[in-house]
Amino acid sequence: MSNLNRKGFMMAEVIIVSTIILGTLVGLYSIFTKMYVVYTERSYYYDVDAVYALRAIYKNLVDNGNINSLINEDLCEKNTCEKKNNYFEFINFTDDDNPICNYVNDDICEGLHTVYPISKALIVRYDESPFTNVDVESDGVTNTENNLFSDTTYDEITKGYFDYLSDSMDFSEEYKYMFIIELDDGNRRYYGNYRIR
Amino acid sequence: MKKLNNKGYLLVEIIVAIVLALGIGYFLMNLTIKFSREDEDIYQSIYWTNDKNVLTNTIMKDVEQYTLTNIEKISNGAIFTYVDTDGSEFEKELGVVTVGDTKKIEYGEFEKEIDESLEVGNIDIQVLEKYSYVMISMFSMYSDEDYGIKIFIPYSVGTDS
Repeated sequence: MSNLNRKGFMMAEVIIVSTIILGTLVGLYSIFTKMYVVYTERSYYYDVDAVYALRAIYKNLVDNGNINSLINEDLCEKNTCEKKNNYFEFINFTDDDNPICNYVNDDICEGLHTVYPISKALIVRYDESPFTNVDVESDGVTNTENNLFSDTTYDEITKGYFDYLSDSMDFSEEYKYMFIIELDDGNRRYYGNYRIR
Repeated sequence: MKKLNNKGYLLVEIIVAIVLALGIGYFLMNLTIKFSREDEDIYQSIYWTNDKNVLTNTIMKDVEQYTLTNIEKISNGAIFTYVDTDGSEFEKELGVVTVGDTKKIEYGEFEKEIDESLEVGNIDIQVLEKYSYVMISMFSMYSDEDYGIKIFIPYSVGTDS
């Protein structure tokens, strides 16, 4: 074996080797950690209870005929009302003193609230507009807060799900609207969506 | 073996090499233990979430496909009475059954052993005028995850779904 040099290892060599090794280890650690974080997040994005809660809500909206009111009056088709909304939150149980449950029959709201830890439910247009962080202009009215990401009522966890939806949904599919639900049992949040034509 | 240099290894080199080797060894061991535990948690989570999904889907498929005419409470669960499109009536029992030391959850032909790490809590069944529900709470002893079965029927039992 030949001599590496005449003075043994130099400080520079030690530092370089240490940096490479530590860099590799930190990289490994962060990749594995990120993998598990992503897995954990995704595993709560298709929750079976959330999906069936949404189906119950949708069924009730169809049965009581309020689905049309929800879409025409609060989501508002373009040119049918002053302000075009890209999304509308019609259920919010985050405040126990002031629970909001519009369009769905009161008894069904009560039952859903008992069975599922529903936090909120909303309907969005099935296109990029609710997920696009740009101003939306409709009938000459520019609405700067008509997208989910600029809405300050949603925190980063909820926006993480919106972000996931905007990345994963194929908006060229022939759906018109999408229901989104968030369940919050105090420990975790679970999500589900249900698309309608 | 030849010396690397004229003076042999310096003490500081040996110390640095040992510290580095021990540091890397400790880091890798910790990483292995941590991910082994994570893997186990995730495996359990996938395993039970999958069973919960299959069971919930099976029940809801029946509820949507047939006319649910009655939900009868029993000590360990409930009996669902359905009427098929041809008018024939049939029953399916949903419940937690204890066989020896093991617990099973059953619904019709579906049968699954409940892992020892899962605790079965209350079974809450309500048949009300406008809606009905069945809740079987199940919690993992090692995490705060809820694997409970929740069945919500958003119509009066006895009317066509």
